[in-house]
Amino acid sequence: MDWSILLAQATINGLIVGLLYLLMAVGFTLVFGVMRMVNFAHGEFYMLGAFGAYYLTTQAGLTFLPAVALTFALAVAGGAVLEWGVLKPFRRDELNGMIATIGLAMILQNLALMSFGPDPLSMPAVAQGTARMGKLVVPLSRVYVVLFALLALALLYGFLKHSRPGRALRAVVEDFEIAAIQGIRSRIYYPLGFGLGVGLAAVAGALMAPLFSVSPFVGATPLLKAFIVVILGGLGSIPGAAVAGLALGLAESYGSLLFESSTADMLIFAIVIVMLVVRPKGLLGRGEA
Amino acid sequence: MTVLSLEAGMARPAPVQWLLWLALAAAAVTPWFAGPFVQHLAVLTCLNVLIVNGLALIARCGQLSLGHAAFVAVGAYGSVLAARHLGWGFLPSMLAGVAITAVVALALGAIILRLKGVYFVLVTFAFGELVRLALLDGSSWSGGANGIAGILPAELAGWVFDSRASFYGLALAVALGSVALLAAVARRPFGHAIDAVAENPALAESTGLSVQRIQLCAFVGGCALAAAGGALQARYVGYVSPESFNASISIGFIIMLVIGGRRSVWGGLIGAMVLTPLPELFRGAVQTQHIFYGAALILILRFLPAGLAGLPGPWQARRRKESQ
Amino acid sequence: MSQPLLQVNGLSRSFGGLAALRGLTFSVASGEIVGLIGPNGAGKTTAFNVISGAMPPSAGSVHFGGQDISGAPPSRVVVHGLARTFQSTSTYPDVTVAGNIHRGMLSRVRHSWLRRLVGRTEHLLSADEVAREVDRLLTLLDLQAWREAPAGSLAYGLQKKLGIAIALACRPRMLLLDEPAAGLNHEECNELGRLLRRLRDEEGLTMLLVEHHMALVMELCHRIVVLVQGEKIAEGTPQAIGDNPAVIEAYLGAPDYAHA
Repeated sequence: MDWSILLAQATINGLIVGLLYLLMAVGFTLVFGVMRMVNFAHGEFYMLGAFGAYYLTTQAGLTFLPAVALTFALAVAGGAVLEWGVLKPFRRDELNGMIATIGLAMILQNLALMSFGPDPLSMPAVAQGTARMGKLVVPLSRVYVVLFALLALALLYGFLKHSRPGRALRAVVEDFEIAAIQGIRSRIYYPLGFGLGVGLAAVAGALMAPLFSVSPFVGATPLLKAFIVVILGGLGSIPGAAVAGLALGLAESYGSLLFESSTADMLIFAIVIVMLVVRPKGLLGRGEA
Repeated sequence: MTVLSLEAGMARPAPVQWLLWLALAAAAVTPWFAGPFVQHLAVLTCLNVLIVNGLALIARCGQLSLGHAAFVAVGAYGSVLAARHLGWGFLPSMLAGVAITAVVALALGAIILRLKGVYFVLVTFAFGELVRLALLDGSSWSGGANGIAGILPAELAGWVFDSRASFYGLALAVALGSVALLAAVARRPFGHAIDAVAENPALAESTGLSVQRIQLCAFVGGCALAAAGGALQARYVGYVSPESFNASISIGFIIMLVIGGRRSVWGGLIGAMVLTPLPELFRGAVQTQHIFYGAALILILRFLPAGLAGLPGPWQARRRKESQ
Repeated sequence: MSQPLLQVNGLSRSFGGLAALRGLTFSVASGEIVGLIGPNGAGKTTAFNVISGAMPPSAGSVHFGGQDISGAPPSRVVVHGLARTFQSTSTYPDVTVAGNIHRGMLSRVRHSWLRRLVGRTEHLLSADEVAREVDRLLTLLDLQAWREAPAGSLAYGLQKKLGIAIALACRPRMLLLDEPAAGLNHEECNELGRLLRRLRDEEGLTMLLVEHHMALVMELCHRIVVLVQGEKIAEGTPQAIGDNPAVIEAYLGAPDYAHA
């Protein structure tokens, strides 16, 4: 039993899953930071992203990367419209906004059920074959997914750090009142923040579609993971979500080497409860409490 | 005496009040004259009334619990295990289930009630998942994913509630009792204190109302009502399994409460009565039904935040406020 | 009475590395009106919060009526007889004025589960007595005309009076007032001064005010304690404080000084 290989393999798997969690969590925390809304519909946008990638590649004949990009654009636009049309009355109304997103989630999931049926679909792989790194074997499709995910993250980073709307969005997330005083027009940033947040969820769904199956039910687990990551990283902290997302992916991967999955799951929830009680600001302490 | 007429009752005109009471009485009595299917729905409605009233008590304190189904589960499993392993009868085992749940709620509440708003929601959600996973995992005592079956029907003083019609009587009594309990609490100083704590906790605390104790009391009481519902549900359905107590069920309770009305003592009753039989109206078009739930939730939150119980409308509400 | 009603000894409070309050020591004798003043950031609010139980001290003690109340939560502090007012959000806006005062008395209602839950044993009332006491306070604070109005609809000055009424509903021996004159105009301020003096004379109330409004403080208080950057720099009669060079220096440039 070559532990070093097992560990390396687990690290790679953990990073892949961690990237997924990171995308979900950053989007989720962005929505919370801008609108103080715990978005229960976040998982459904992941699901819609997966369907988007599926249909764009199989029916519309796009290759994978353009399909993901188009899915992202559609999700941002759709999210912005939904925010403006449906969620506007609940901006910064924490509890009612959260309940409203529960309603939104039910609507989205059941519309998907009605349109696509309950059966899981499988998307053709992005690439065939495997890559070898020394003694490690990684399917090429996963490598591509990781590369595209890193590309998406680089673009996101560039947007948030170096573009005016991106910096303004970060300002709104970090301190809403000060941003308002500085004249940042929150009327634009609510739909933009929500759209971008759910767009990231859709990208996560699109990227993972070839790796897992596509069905109206795939949104539940990513939503759960987003909750956990964001609590650990601090609600409203983008860096916290990123770090905690990768950490959770790795922890789960290593944990599966040591524990039974059910024990690991329970442990995670116990840790979440302890975190919320002891340090609601999250690991990096930059979230809100 | 205006100062003491602070009750939360609706300022409806007398004839409308009488009509509503009559309608309620009619609805209560109808199942005994209808078929077993209607009786089944009626039983489920009554159990939901009891459980959602527990949620209403917690919500009245300003906290929303997304793990309510977990307390239903603890009550259900607790009472079943007490009956099975200790040989206790229906009433003692039900009380055991409620007592265990109260202790769990006390311990949990002591540490989580200081959290506000969405943080409390998230931690109760995490607790709900933890309970569900523990039940799935503990197959030696909980029966794991299959749960525990073959639960004996409820019996009191020699009367066995093994038919739908007879169990409905028991469920109806308990459901109406829970509404009466909420109404009584709302009128008493404890009820007023709960409202004060929800509206302005700092001010309430400074007038001698210990926010922590009051919230904890309401939380334990609400979870105890849920536990009672769970214990009864176990006796009616005949089995318990972890998937009967998952997050969707908790969300269902919240939907009933929000649509019925979070601020009124009738909110739980109205929400349960409207939403429990709905799957029947939709006749298997499950997706349409859920879309309807989602849309109804958003519409109610937007246009009728006081829920269906707030229907007399904003002008009546203002009259009620001014008669306080 | 030889023993002061309120005794604060070496009271300190830090937030992280920042010492907001350092070794504050002073006392208030029964029947006195004492003012706690200082420029912004002096630590007055912190002192107020620690004494009233809103936060525990980092060091030092607070004794009330001979009993140690350091670190006790506000609901316990009130039971000992020390009540406070709030500067903002001082009422329940959707409840009537009478209802607000009623809520202030809830912990005193005899034969109620609530009373047993919060553990109050003194100054208990029956239901009838509650109604009469609410009436009495409405009259005392001249709020009868608005008794059925929602508190949120009242003018600012009246809301502050209601805040005082709510504090009095707990039957305190001493009142801590958090900037009671903030936002009041000249006439309202005079009225406040008259009210507070009347409360001292008729209800036997002792008072500690945290206040910026120098004219009110100079006119109303028997003694004044001056805080600067968390430390007491002076204590004495209004006359002595007004002449104290350290105090004058601390306030140089502060706009409120123009009132004095």
